[in-house]
Formats: sequence, structure tokens, C-alpha cells
Amino acid sequence: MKNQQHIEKKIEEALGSMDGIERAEVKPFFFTRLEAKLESKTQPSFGRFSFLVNMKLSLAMLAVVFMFNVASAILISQESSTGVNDQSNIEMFTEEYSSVTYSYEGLNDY
Amino acid sequence: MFSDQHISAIKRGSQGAFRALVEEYQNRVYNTCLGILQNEVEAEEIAQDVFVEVHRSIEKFRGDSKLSTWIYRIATTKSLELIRKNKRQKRFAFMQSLSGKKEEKSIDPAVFEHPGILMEQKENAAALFKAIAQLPESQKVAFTLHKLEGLPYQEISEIMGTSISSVESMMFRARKNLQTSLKNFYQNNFKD
Repeated sequence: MKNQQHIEKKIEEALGSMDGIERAEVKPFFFTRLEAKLESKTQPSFGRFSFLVNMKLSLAMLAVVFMFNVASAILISQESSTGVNDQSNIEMFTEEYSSVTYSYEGLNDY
Repeated sequence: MFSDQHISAIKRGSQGAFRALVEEYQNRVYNTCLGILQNEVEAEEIAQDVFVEVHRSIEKFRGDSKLSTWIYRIATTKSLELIRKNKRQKRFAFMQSLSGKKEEKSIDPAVFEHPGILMEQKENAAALFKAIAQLPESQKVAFTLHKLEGLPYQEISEIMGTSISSVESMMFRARKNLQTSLKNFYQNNFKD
């Protein structure tokens, strides 16, 4: 019973403990810190969407690689269209080279 | 009291007028956030966020309510948002611990001591703040604004967007809940 009364008293004391409370004050230079935060917020920041920036970069890189591939394919196809002339040139060169070889073979007979 | 001219100056981008506003309201905002969050670091962070929001959306302030009401509303909303975020993170950490992932031990602040409490009341106030932390959101906000900031029910009702009778009801229920929490606390801590 005595304990119960004591608890009731403590509850009332606790509920009244905020009477006459003083207002908490911010630490010095609050405005300076706020200014810094405002500046950081106004600068372009992508925050949680930064992955989109990375995605853009990746897409740009992919586009460059794709363009290189297309350019290479075009060049190769152009070269293959002129492949017949190249082939004939090679044959002519081989014939000429072979004739030279024969002349050397003739020399070996000595 | 902040005049309409000051508000117009802030809307025009006057840094001096904004600074005056911050200096006028910084302690009220910080004290409110501290009462709700019961953590000095978080209260400072949220108080800054409140003024960032004020700076960003002062254009939208039409003067339908008092400036202080508007700022208190932002402060209470942001504080409650942080409490919800912290709860979500705790739940997520708990789920991770269930799934076997390593959980970082969350460190609960020992006992919150409001810097404005009188020395002889510190022990009682610590028990009271512990009980306040367990109140439902609306009761916590109403009780904090009334007891910590000394706001009348009329202004609290405007801040919370409700009627005065609702605020009275919230305060009554808050007091009842606090009595129950404190009774449990003292029954567990007092043994003959």
C-alpha cells in the first residue's frame, strides 16, 4: 500500500517535471551550418538518381563502340567489293615472282 | 513577430531577411524537434532541414496561417518522418538478422536529458521522456507542443490541422497513456 502511494507520487512528480522547462537552444553558428547545407542543396546533385547519370555514361560509351563497329563494317564491305582487282594484282605479282624464281632455279644448275 | 514585409523580402531573395527569420525561429524549431526526436544530433539535422524547406517553399506561403504555425507544421512533419524512417531501418535490420545476414548492433541512447530541465527534476523528466517516446504520433506532437513549447490548444490545432476539441482529447489520452507507462516503469524499478 505504501509502495503504491509512493508510485502514485512519483508519477505525479514525473508528469510535473516539465513545468518550468527552459527552451533548448541551438549550438553556436547554426546559421553558418545552415548556409552550407543550403549551398550543397542548391548545387546540382543527382542524389538517389545518380545511377541514371552512370547509365547515361554507359549508353554514351556503348554508342561510341557501336559507331566504331558500324564504321569498321562499312570499310570492310567496301574493301571486299574491290577484292577482285586485288586478287588479280596478287596473281600478276605471283606470276612475276615465280618467273624470277625460275630464273634463279636455272642458275642453280651451274 | 515577423511582418509581411519581412516575408516579402525573403520571397525576393533577401539573405538578411532569411537570416532574421532563422534567428527568430531556430530555437523554437530545434526545441520542438528535440522534444519529438529526443536526440540532439537528429534534432539539429532536422532543424536545418526545416529551414531549407522554408527557404525552398516560402514562395508558396500565402499567409493563410501564421508564419510560426507554418514553420511548426514543417518541424513536426519532418521530425515524424525521421522517426518513421528510423523505425523502417530497424525493421529492415531485424529482417536481415532473421535471414542470417550480419546485423549491426543498434545503439539506443542511454537516457535522454533535455537541456532545459531543472537539475532536481532530471530523474523524473528522464522517466517522463521515456514514456513520451512510446506515445502515438499525434499525442506525442500535441503533448510536446503544449508542454515543451507552451503553445495553446488553439495554435496546436492549427499546426495539426484539427479542431481544438480533438487536441483536448489527444492531450487527455496522452496523459492517461503516460500515467500507465510511468506506473509500469516505477513498478519495475521500485521493489520493497
